[in-house]
Amino acid sequence: MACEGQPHPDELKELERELRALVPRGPRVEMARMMYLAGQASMSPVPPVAPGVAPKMMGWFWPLSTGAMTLVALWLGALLVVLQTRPGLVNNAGHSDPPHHAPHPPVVVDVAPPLRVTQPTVAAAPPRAVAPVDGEDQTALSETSSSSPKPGTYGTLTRRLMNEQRRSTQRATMWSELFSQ
Amino acid sequence: MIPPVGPEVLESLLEAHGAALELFAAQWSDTPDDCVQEAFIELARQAQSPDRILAWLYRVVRNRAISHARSAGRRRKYEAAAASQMALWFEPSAGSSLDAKAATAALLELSPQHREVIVARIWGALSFEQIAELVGSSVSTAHRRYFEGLAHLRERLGLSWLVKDNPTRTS
Repeated sequence: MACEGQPHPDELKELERELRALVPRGPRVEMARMMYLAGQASMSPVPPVAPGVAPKMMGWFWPLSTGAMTLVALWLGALLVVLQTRPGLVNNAGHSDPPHHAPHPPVVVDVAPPLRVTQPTVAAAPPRAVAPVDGEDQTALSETSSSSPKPGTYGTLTRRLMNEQRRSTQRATMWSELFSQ
Repeated sequence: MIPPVGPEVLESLLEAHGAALELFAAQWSDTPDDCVQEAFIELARQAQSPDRILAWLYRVVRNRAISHARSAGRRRKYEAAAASQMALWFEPSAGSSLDAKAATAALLELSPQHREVIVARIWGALSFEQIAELVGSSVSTAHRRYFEGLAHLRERLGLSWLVKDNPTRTS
């Protein structure tokens, strides 16, 4: 049923037949070359994907990975800032235990190497030579160590050793927490 | 699991549908044979044969042809080039009362949306469902574009079989 002015379906079918009778030119594709290239391509197959449509996951992969790496970088940067500003990590051990007395000349107990802040162990260390701590007056080192200990020196020495051990323990704890995160 | 397409299938597909695929690609690209070749190579690369190979080929050819047209940046030049190559779209055929050059010119006058539906339907033998999926429209839109395009071709080619005052043609 056709409206006035509209082509009748039979007429359009006739037009379809006439158009279909026209033969497109070609194909101009060289069969041998195409088969050769197709054979090469078949050696590296790809998973079935609708042409022109990227897999949904691939569309999100790079933005997600970029965002994840950005977050990791920001977290590491924030952690660095936090660790820098946390008290106790800064090597200002001298400020935490201000001397209440005049500095005594260091007493050499033995020839063991100076106590280092990177010691991970918390075990009680044997008495070591009193290494100069940052912030303290180091001029006493230049004095001869052959002088005999003066009264009250052992108490100060013990207090220093205990403070050093406490700071070492704190640093070791912080490092272990950091690596355990 | 569907096996990949073999060389025999590729050869038969190219012989049966190569010309129609090149005609389809010629709507956008001035190198339709390259588009068709790339589509067949892509088909050979698939680890699994697509469910509907012909519709898959038309889709790949369409994407390739549009991509070629965009990268070449010669859309306006294409229209001029196509006008000078009007006679190259169809072989002179004694089986049709239509002139190949006139039919090509009439097709070029259509909008791209109408033309691709007509070419895919008449020479590609795709169903309206496949055409709708190919062009990204609904089936009804594809149907409408097809008949609108045919009506325009009918007017353009001077095939006016409709007689206004014919009492047998009633609405």
